[in-house]
Parts: sequence; C-alpha cells; structure tokens
Amino acid sequence: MRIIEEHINKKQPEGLKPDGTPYNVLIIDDSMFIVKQLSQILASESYNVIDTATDGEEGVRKYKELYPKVDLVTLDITMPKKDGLQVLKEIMEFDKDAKIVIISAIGKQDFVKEALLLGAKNYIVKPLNREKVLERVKKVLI
Amino acid sequence: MRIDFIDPFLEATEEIIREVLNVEPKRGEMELNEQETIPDIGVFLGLTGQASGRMLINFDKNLALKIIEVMNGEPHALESEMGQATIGELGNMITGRAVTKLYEKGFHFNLTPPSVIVGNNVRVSTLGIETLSVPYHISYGNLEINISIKENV
Repeated sequence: MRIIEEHINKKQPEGLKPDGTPYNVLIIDDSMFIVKQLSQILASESYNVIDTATDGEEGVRKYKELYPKVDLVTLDITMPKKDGLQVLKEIMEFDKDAKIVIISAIGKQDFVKEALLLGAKNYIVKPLNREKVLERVKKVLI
Repeated sequence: MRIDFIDPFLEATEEIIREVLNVEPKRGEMELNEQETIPDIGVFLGLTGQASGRMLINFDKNLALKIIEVMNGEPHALESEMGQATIGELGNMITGRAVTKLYEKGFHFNLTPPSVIVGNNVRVSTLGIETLSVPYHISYGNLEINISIKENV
C-alpha cells in the first residue's frame, strides 16, 4: 500500500514526456555563463540539453542538423555573427512548428512584439531564475 | 550628453546589483572624464541606434570575485573563462535593462555583445568624447560605470 501511495505521490519531472523520454533542448547563447545556468536549471527537471551554440550561425546550422529531434530552443538576441531575431526568422522558415523561447537582457516592447510576430512562443527577460525559466518552458511544451 | 540618457543607466545598475547581490549600492559623485582606467576588470558594451556610444563598467577585484561566486554558486578566478563570462553577463544585464528603460522613454538603442578586459590599471582613451563616470560603493567593493554617448546627426 505504501509503495502504491509513494508511486502516486511521486511527481514526474517536467522535462520528461509522457513516454518517459526527455524533451530535447537546444541552447543558442554566446554567454558561457547563461549556457551553464540554463543547463543546470533544465537538468534539475530532467530536460536533456541536446546541444549548445555560441553564435547565431551555429545555432541555425545545429537546429537543421538535429531536426526533428529538438523539442525546444532557447535563443539569445544579442549575439555575434547573426542576431537572435534573424536566427528566429531562419529557423521558423525551416520549421514552422519550431518551439522557440527568447532569453534576453533586453525587454523592449518592440523586440518582444517582433519576436512573437516572427513565431517565438515566449520571451524571458534576464536575470534568470529557476522558477521563471521552468514555468515558461513548461507552458511552451504543453 | 543628454541627461535623460543617463538616468536609465543608473537605475538599471542599482536594480541589477540589488537583484543579484541583495545589497544596496551607494552612489558617489558623478564626474566628466576624457580618460578612464580599468583597475582590475571591466566590461565594454556598445550602443547603437538613435545615438551611438558605449558603456564601460569597472569592478574592483573583491567585488568581481564576489559577483562571480554569487552568480555561479561557486568561486571562479577573474582570469578564468567562466569568471569573465559571468562579469560580461552582469554587464549585459545592466545595459539591457538600461536600453529597455530608454525605449520606454522614447529613445531607441540596441546593444553589441560584451567584451571583458582583465588587467592592472589599463588606460582607455575616449578620443575626445566626454565620458560621465559614476562610482558606486557596495559592501563587497567598488564599481564604476562610465557612459559615453554621442547623438547621431
């Protein structure tokens, strides 16, 4: 009986799909600090960081290479080579069902609006905290 | 330099320091300079758009090490890649918040990615563009923000 209760009360980590396999996340961000922080937050709920990219060009290339394995992309705006809005546009042109969450230090309304119009599913303004990231990511994947 | 460009940078610096370190920064006297010195570690961010310029945020060693430790949950050296990435990210957060506040006042700016400089009294010339420097004292050390903005004509 106790074993059954424990089984019922045990919450499935948010990073796991109903079949028990993890959601795959691609992190595109030029800050090593943010990559580490996001990876730790996501791993705490069993999400799998499938890969990371440190500039916009690499981000688009890795999304295409990994397609259709990526369930969610976290995308920075201010990056070398190609900025986040351009990356968003190119990934959405390649895969109109891509789930992309923007993570930026800039919360200007015109940026947020443009990102949402281009197809981003959510927008998180830094500094990051665990609750904020997990709540937005969960919302996008449901 | 327009004074209404400056306030958002000061507000953003104070808000981010409070949010990250949970301490109250004490603002010192502002001054205008044409030359700056990076005593231990500094982060440069470029501003483009309605006006162009850049922000340099200087941290003394003790403060930088404390910020790195708090933000990572563990210490890293100033010279380490993670130490510098952390300071760069804090600069990015401050400037990103300032750019957002400027937008709310009707001024349109964008940011360039941060560059971090580690050194001992590195001298930086602003090549004649005046820089407004504002020192802050924080319980773990000192921080100074330096803002140079030239309106595009």
